[in-house]
Amino acid sequence: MAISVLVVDDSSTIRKIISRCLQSAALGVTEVVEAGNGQEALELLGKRTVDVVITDINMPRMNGMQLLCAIQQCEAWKGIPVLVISTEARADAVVEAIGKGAKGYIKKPFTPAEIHDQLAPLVTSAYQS
Amino acid sequence: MFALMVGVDLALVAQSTTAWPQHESTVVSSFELSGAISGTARVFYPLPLANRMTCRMLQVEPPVAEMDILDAAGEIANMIVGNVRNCLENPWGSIDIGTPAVEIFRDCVLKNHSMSVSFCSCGDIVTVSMAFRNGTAPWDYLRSSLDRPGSDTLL
Repeated sequence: MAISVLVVDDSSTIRKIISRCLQSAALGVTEVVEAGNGQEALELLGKRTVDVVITDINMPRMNGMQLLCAIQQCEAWKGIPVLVISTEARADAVVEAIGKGAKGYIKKPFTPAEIHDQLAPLVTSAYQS
Repeated sequence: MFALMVGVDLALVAQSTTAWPQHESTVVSSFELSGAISGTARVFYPLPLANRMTCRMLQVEPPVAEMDILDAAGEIANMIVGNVRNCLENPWGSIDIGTPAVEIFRDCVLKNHSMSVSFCSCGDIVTVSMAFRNGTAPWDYLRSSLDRPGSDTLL
């Protein structure tokens, strides 16, 4: 089964690094689509389906928390697992993200292994659904 | 972890001096801080080092486009300043970091700073500078943090 991932970050560099990690993670990720902020991500989700969303928090136009809320509030999207990657290390930020529906949280800077370890259960869940 | 992601090793320069990027062109990433502590944080790198870090992050051969250098420099600075913020929040309270403004300056000189920390990578200098507006400035706390073993936790 092919897994598609939506990567949302205002940094093109980070999007490329995450994309590279996904493709080398051996988790069956065959397609990576990118968005520069939450608003672009919602526009993409309105046009196509993805299996997992990976998002930063601090972004212009629409931040990651707002994106999380929008995904959870939409019947068509709320089943898509969301992984947060951010420089925010505060415990309350992590709790807030999880409370808003995030399935995982990775702090920047990150290693490819961290991406793999957090993504693996989400991909397994996508396969089973 | 920083070295693994960015591809360069950074070593803390002795705190007795403030080293300065020695190159005619300097990439400067600036952030506004607000909340429990307000002020400005800046990260300075010489352009050749910024170029190298960008190539390693993107895993491409040089040269890279200036747009990519500015984006990578901003993201690296975001991680550095983000870690500084995380160190300061524990005693001081919630601090927000604004979106970075990244530019390349010629003959850049550091002025009006409250505290600077420098790191060295293969002879190139990266300087992190912070200027605080609040009456209570955390530079003593930061200095004592940097004097402790493992003080490269900023990275």
